[in-house]
Amino acid sequence: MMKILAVDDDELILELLVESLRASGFSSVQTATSANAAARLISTATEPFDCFLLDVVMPEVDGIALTRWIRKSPLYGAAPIVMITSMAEKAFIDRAFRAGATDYVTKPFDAVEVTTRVQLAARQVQANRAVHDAGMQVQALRAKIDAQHHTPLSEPVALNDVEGLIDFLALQNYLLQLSRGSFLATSVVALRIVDVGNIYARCSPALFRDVLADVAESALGAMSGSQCIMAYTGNGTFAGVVACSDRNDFEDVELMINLTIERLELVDDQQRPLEVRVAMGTPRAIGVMQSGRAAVAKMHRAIEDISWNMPQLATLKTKTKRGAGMLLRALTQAI
Amino acid sequence: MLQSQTIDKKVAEIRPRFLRLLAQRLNRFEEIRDLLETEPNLAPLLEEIGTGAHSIVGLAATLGFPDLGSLAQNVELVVNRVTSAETSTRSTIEFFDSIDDLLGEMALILQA
Repeated sequence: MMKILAVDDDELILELLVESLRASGFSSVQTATSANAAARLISTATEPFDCFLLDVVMPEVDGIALTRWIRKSPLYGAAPIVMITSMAEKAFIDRAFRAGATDYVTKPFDAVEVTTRVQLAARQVQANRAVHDAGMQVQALRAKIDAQHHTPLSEPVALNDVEGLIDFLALQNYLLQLSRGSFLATSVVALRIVDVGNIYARCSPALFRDVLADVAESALGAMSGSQCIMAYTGNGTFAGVVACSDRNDFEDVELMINLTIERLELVDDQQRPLEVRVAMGTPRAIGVMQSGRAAVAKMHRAIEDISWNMPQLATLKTKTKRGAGMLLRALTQAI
Repeated sequence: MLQSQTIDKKVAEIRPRFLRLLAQRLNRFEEIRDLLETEPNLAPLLEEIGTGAHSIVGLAATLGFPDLGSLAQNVELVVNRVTSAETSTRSTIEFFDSIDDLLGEMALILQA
């Protein structure tokens, strides 16, 4: 049975939510009327919660801060968090997904829609549980294996500590939830680490995660002006959604990312220099007439494109060197 | 009992309580509306009316009052815009219009 925690400062909404969920077969629902009360319930729960339904706007501590707090717990790193709010503005949706929400329902909510979202979340929980149950039997062994073996390169490993980097499924949900109006100034973009197989082979699992996190942070930093939200999709590839439709604004982003990474002076497990460079695909404007599904399809095409059009490492190194020189000259002239 | 019947039953149970709260809110909103014309410190009043409108948005349409929900949503958005843009509230005709429209709809529902 799926254990749900619903949090809203309006008791009437909670009553309606609980009744709607119970009518759909979710009988284990607990409620809290504030983020603080929810935090107490979460901290003292003998059995962990499987799914959270959170209001965004609440007095004192809001649902976004609560989401961030929940995500910090290793127990809830992958738990479904569905936000329910009347704030359908893009800025609120962005903040919710950045904090770690996996889905979003806008008020006035339709009881059937909410239960459908929870049913989807339940499937995710069941899948997680199946993996967890199977994993329990070999947990001790797995810890040893994890230290020595990699998860496959193609798997989108979770990188929870990078602000603005979310789960790939959540990124797709985010696109599905955006209004058509928001698409006018929104683009999708993919970037990929060049020669990632070589880097993967030379790094321990922990170090490879660190490299991915460094690349993600560098990319998010370079695109901070475009309110980028990104996800790691596996195979050294990242997908991003940016608030911009003008390709010219992205001209220097690849260079900025690579210069930032270069300054980090990354090394492998034997302390040998790791040549990490990122190739960035051409951003694709979504366009106002598109649906959320079309936007998701566009993102998948961007990912495919970058996989098929990878430049050579040497080419990117030269490009970065030349770009750094041009930047330096421009700076010198400016001074 | 079917899922929709269960939800309809709950909605019918909640509606009178929502209306009682709406009557209390109407009285308070009318006080705030008057204070907004004279009070020098608008921030707490704006916060209160914004929070109240937000609560109405959450349930109004679900309980069968879609117009009330969209008028409350409009107030919430306008309050957010006014507080974040730090514009002069009193000069914002849109702001007072949105509150007046909401107060009118609340009164209409409670009279019915």
